[in-house]
Amino acid sequence: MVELKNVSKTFGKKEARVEALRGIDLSIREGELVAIMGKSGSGKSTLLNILGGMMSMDNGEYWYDGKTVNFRSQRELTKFRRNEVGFVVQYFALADDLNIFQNVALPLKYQGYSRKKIKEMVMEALRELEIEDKAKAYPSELSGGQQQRAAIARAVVKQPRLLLADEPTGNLDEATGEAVQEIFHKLNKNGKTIIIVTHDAKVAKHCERIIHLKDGMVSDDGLGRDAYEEEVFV
Amino acid sequence: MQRIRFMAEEFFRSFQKSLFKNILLMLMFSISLLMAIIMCSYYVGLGERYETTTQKVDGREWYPLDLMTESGQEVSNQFTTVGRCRDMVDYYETLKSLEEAPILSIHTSQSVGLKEEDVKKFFGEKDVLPFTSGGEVNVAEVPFWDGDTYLTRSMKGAQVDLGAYRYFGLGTQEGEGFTEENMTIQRDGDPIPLLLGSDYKGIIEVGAIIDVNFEMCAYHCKVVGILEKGSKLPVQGYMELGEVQYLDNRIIFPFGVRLLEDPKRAQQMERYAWNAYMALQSGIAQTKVEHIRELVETYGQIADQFGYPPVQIIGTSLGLDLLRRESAAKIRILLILTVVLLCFSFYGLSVTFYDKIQSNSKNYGIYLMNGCSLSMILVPCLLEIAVILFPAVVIGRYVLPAAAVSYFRAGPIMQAVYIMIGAAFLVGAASLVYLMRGVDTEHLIRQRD
Repeated sequence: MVELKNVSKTFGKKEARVEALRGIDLSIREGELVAIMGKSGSGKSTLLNILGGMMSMDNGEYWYDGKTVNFRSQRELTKFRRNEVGFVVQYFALADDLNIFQNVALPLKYQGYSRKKIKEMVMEALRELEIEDKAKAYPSELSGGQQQRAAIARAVVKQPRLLLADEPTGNLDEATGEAVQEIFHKLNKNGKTIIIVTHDAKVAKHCERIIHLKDGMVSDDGLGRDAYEEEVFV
Repeated sequence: MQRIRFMAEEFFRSFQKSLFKNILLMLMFSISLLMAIIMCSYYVGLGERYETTTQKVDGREWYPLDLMTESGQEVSNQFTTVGRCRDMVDYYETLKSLEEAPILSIHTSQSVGLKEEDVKKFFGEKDVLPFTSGGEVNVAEVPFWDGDTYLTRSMKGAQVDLGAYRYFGLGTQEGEGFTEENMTIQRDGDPIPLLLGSDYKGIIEVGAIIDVNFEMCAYHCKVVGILEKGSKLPVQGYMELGEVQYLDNRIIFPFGVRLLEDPKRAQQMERYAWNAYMALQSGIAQTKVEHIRELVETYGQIADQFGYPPVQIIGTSLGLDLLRRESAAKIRILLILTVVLLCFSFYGLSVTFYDKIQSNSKNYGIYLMNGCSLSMILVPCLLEIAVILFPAVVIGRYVLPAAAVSYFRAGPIMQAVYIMIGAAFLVGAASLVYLMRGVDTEHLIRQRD
């Protein structure tokens, strides 16, 4: 479903030049639950942002469903983000002056759904994430876990095939983080391709595949612990 | 539809958030636009004048004048002392004597009131009707020179000053025309010169003393000459219209009689003040287009000197018309204020939108992240700029034409309004696009709460 070929990305100029990604080759099948791990500065967030069409790459190719994603065309990129990708970030990225319903409804407004349809889809997403009673609340009135659920609801409400999460539990306590992980698992079981960037091994071990990045390159690409144990021991 | 709805919601949300700032910007732009248009009109003649108002004669431009007042009360109420009457006479003399803009005063449809007994005496059995305006005989509204009221007949008349008399080449077949000498009288009571049209030959003799009522004042007059046959003047001084008024059956009264000694009573001086006032109302002045502004400023200075309203040059640009009562120094201050206000308006607009983009960058990033296009973020901002500038357009479209006195050309004024508003919008839009250039998801993802 997703294929990266020789992708590179550099930041800064001259002495401050940093090669965030160096010749990344990666392939992800539909329905996979993948964790991308690495130390700070290893390039994992950069990789995720390129996968989400939110950051351009300097070199290489990005293939999605057999077609290249054209980073030169803002219009195509916008369409790609709008239709194919749901994004969840560590700091929730909820608009403070919109209530939860309005936040979750954002992607649907860009797609041109009717008011009635938007209401239907948003309430369903909120129900799925068990925060339908918070529809009229504002982000500041919610706990971290609830905000993250709202962010996930926004990411999935448009039924994207690819869900990307950048440190989704980074700002949450352990219990809440586990609850959020459960949500990702549930979504993956429903067929979503999910890629999670994390430095937390506890999060990664539950993924079926872990890709390690080091100094902008893939240093390891293997099964997650649970998947490994399943394979080996079942 | 939903996208339009989203943009509309964004626009209202954003506009409401900066409501106070936006209202302030609207005010600033409206005022600065108004002032800028008036200043442009004042200094570079924006709006110019109606071509038909000015007259090109012998290759020179003549502009009609008017001592523009509110129904004349503002001026006439001041003729209560000898001093103020003298000020009006001197005011006219000073204006008339300006080297760079000589004034001609002409009025071709006047009525001169003669005592009916004088009419009978002079005309005898001759037909008097061709010489009358109206033909009725009425009791005079004001007493004649001797203080008594009489049955009066209105006779056809005209009025002209010495400059116009000479300019239009009027001449006499008998006696003398208007001269510096006969237009200057020592004291009130000395006879004022009258000229008669050629048809009066054999009816009234040169040298005859006649008392007349003219423009609600009594005058003691002496016939100094009879004009050549066919003498004419342009109708009401409008030379370019081509119409002429023949003077053959008219009594010609002078503008600009100079009185050397002040009388004791204001009522005695009042008639000379009225004469001078009407001369300014019926005047035309010659000057070049590029000197109009200087002339307006000169007229303003002279008006200040004598404490009367400035003479209006009919058909000047909007700015000159509105600011003719202000001194050149005050107008320069206004110009500086205009520039400052305009700069502040643009600065305010830039800062407001810079702040807006900076403070909303998180929201914009969220929108972009979720599939919003940059244009859907830009359009509400552009709409906000347009709304801020809109009152200025309304004011320019409706207030400016209404505020200005007649005789200016609205077309160039409106074009200037639209160009200025358009420029302001383009500057705002360009700044916005420039600021939004860096607002992409790559930039925003790097931001943290």
